[in-house]
Amino acid sequence: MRLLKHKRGTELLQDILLLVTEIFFVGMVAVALMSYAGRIKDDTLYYKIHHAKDISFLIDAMQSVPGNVLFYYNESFGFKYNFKNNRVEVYDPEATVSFTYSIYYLFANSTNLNFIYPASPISKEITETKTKLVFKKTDSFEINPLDENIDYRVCPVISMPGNTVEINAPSKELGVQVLLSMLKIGTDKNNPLIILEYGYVSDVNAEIYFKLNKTERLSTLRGIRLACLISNNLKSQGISSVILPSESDRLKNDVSVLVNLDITQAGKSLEKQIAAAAKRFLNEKR
Amino acid sequence: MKRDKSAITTFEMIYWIARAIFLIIVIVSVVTLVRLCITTQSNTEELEANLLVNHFLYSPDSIVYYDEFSGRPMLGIVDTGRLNDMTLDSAFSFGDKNTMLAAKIEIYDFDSKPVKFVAYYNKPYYDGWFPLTGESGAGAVSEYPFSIYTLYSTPDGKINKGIMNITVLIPKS
Repeated sequence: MRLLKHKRGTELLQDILLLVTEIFFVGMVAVALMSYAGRIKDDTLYYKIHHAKDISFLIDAMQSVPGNVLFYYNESFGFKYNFKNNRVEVYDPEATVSFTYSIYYLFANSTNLNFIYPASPISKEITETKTKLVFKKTDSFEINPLDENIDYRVCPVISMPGNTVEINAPSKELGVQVLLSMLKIGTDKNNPLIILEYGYVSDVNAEIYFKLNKTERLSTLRGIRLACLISNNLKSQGISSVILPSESDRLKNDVSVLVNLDITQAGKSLEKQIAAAAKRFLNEKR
Repeated sequence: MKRDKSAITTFEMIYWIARAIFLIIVIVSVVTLVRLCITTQSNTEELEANLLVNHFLYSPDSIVYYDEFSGRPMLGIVDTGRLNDMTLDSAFSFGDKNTMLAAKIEIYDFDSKPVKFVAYYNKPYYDGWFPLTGESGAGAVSEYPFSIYTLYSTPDGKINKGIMNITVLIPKS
């Protein structure tokens, strides 16, 4: 087609004009694509879908487990989570209404398992970028933000045998007597309910042994329960520990707690946490 | 030889039309490729089917034989007394309306082969979705079959060898 007529050199000019037009269109498309890619880069849609599905499948899988489960979920980008009516909603923390830019996915629940949903959306910032969720499945299913008061291990709940054992729970506040590296817990100093000993295995490891009074020494599982409570109390102070069979010759116990201390905690007194766990153990309803 | 101007014009018009068409094809191809590379969905159908089957096989609330005395589910043993639609629906419930999953469980006798027990999970939707299996595209339904060697308890207390076939249906989104 001839845009310009009756002039010399018009053919070349015309070709150049068409080429420039072509380049303009290609440039327009390139700019539009770049803009689209820029928007996608900041878009959190994929991550929301990923989290909604991941959490739903996690809840589904946890319910299939025959025993107790405690799971910490910290794969997060600082979203806000809302759990209700068999569904998890994931949305941006700044969104004032949950359905604004929210993604949800359904999870199943067994009608035999009581679900305890958090009362409000979870957006507790544990670190700058992460929200930690805690899923706990025992007799019920609980979803919580990470809380210092939560039991870090699911300590076994031991059902005591019927009327075969009579337990005289102390009526007064339990006294705690610290004897160097030994704790005697109970109202009667000469016949304590629990004797705990702890010593340093190395600079950074301490081991706690305990001996239960014959009235408390009912089963191995009771010992594991006490070890678990001690472990959780230490965890609340940032001290990690493991539960393992005792190798102590002096105190013939079923279990003991090996405490791993970092350099800053080496030599730290553990009596307070241990005593608190032991008190709780003795005051539990059985 | 004198050049025919109209012929040249026609030739150039055809040349530029072809060039414009080619440009459009290139642009559409680039846009399509870019959109194909950016995906916000992940296909988790098979995982969901496996979760459902594992729930049936392992959960004490489901169809596995559960020893109430020791509190242990006997994995791999199906309690046929609990193999019914109601137990399956309540074991993996999505609320009043389940548009996520449906399944059919059949237990064959290992030796004599006839179907001994049949139960459905989310039966109304299973019946509606089954004719749509094998189709492609949105609105169709994916079918995931599982065949598992199992033991099953009979109402008279005997335990027999069997094969459990589970067909899970998931609508394509």
